[in-house]
Amino acid sequence: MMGGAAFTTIEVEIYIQTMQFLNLKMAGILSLIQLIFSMLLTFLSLRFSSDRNVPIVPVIEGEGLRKPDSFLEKSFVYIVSMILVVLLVSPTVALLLRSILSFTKGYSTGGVTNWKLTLESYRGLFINERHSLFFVPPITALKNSVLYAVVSMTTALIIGTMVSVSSSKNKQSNKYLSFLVMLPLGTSAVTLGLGYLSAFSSVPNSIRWFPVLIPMAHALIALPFVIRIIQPVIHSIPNNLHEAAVTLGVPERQLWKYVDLPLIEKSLATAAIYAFAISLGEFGATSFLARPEYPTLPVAIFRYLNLPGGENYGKAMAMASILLIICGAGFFIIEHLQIKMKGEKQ
Amino acid sequence: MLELKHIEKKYNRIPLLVDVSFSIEKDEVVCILGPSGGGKSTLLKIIAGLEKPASGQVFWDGKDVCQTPPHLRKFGLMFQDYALFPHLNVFDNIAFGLRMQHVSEDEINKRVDEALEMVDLQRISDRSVVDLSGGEKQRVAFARALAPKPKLLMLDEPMGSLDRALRDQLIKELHELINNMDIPVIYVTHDQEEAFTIADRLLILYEGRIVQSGSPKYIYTHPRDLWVASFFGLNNKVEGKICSLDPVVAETAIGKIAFSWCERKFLIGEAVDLLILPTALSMIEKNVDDLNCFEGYITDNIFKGSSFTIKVRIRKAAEFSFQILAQVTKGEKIIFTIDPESILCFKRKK
Repeated sequence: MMGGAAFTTIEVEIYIQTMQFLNLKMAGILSLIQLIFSMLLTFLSLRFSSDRNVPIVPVIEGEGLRKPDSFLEKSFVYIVSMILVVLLVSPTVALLLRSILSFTKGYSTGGVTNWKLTLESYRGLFINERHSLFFVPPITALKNSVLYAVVSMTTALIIGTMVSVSSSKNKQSNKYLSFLVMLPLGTSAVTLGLGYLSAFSSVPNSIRWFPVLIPMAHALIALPFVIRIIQPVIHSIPNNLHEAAVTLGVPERQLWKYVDLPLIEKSLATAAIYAFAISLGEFGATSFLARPEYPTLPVAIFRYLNLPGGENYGKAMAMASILLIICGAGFFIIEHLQIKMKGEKQ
Repeated sequence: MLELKHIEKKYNRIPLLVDVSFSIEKDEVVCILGPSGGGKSTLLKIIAGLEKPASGQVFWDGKDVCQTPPHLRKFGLMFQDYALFPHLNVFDNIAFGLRMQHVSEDEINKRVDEALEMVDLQRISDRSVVDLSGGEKQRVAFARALAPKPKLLMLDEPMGSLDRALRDQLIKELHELINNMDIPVIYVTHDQEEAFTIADRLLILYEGRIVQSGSPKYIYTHPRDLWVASFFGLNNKVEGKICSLDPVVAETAIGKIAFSWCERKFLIGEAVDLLILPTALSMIEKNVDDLNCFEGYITDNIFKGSSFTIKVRIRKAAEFSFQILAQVTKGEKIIFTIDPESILCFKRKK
């Protein structure tokens, strides 16, 4: 939607070739090119980040922070804040405003555009005006999204924790696992969705199973983030905490319960919310795998955007606002959880 | 109570502990003293069951505990960097071991309060351990190790990460606390002053072997060899040859030195190394004897509070450090005698 054909990225082109032209061959070649580049970049990233990790220690809130003193420092803070407002806050505010504003222009207004505050777009989400078979009320899309998000979050957390723990035990396996789990980060979600589509489309009745594949794809997309949050914390737990616990009476098989889990629980919560939010907002892979009767919030937004008329645009904005609020609430919880104990990775 | 027999341990095929055997009696405070990287902490971990020896046995009250898992041994271990649980506050850190023993909450409250009182930390029981100073952390770690009433207490360089002033203050407190306990204590350190303050008995661990064992005073005044002596900071070394046997006198570059510490017989002409203790010097008015009487120039004078550490150059041949009470000035010429009982003599190794 942004920039036009001249600014199309490889990810968009894969999507267009698959969904609009059904040219899976071209989409596959483009995905392969993207995959090679992401593998190369992942390899370089791991090589240059080396083995040096800064140990994570709990710190007092605000420790090491100070107010800007000089004019230069104040200006820098001001400029950075302004950039953040322009880039991050303004689209969010625009989205929310557009979802509650209604514009009218025509003969009745003498060609002048009028606007009014209204919740019409939100109400419209619940009305199937064209009696479409594939109409899905927002609550259902939200339910689908939340269900997928819960499953993908759980999957990503379980796999992410297992990978982080096993990589902390073995340096060699850490190297290979890091490379493997970083791959989805460089590979676009669209490529991932295409991969799932290609891999499972030959299976009989595969389309029935596509909704099951959605949380798997989401979990895979969230996995690098989950691991990047949990792994440094697990790696930074000093072995002497385990030794101290054992000498104080903890059996070795329960060290995880008494030492590791309490130390990583905040990171786990953070990773869980990241995975949840990533799944809620994921569109690339979902667009390949979502069945019309089980859309997620982003797919529903996309559907409204593809329909003509200002009303549908307003509904898309309303749906996007709902998604925004849910994701915002998730990140608010993250910040709240991090108030007392903070860990900085690498 | 505790007995180690022929403990061996290797790291990457390099011997870390070689045939380590010793025993500790009830109420005894044994200090394992040795340079860093000498296997002291590994030895504690073997006793605690955190590491397995390549060979050898650990006995407690005559029973081999090598197969007993560490959480069932009930040996308390205080770590060098304290290993306090950062997610727990002071109270919960100390209560951790008691909770593992499924002690009732009332009993936990009582025993943690006692432990806090013992280390004088009642006022900060609900504070996060992250916010504590080094000294406070050390006390919490000590209280945590003691709260579950271990059968044996092991302390691994407990003063290692503290500054000198705090160390001096805490070592006295620790000495008092340890003396009031009725369990055996193993204290590991590389600092001789700590070891002298704390220990009933010293074990000197060097290159994985216990090279000498005995009371602090005996080992200081009768080090087994030059290495043990130099580890105690005895660096006033002078080479010589035995020139008389009654009294035993060695001819050295600074003159003739008589000494009375002779645990073995020497031969005339035998090459020896003499070590002069820093407290051996007594200043006199004028030279009275050929033996043990010297003239020298003060090359350095360091104020040490209750005494001075001086450096004296004798005959341009050697420079020695001594501790004296009287003040002298740099460049001053002094005449002094060296106490024959404060001289150690070792056969020179080829």
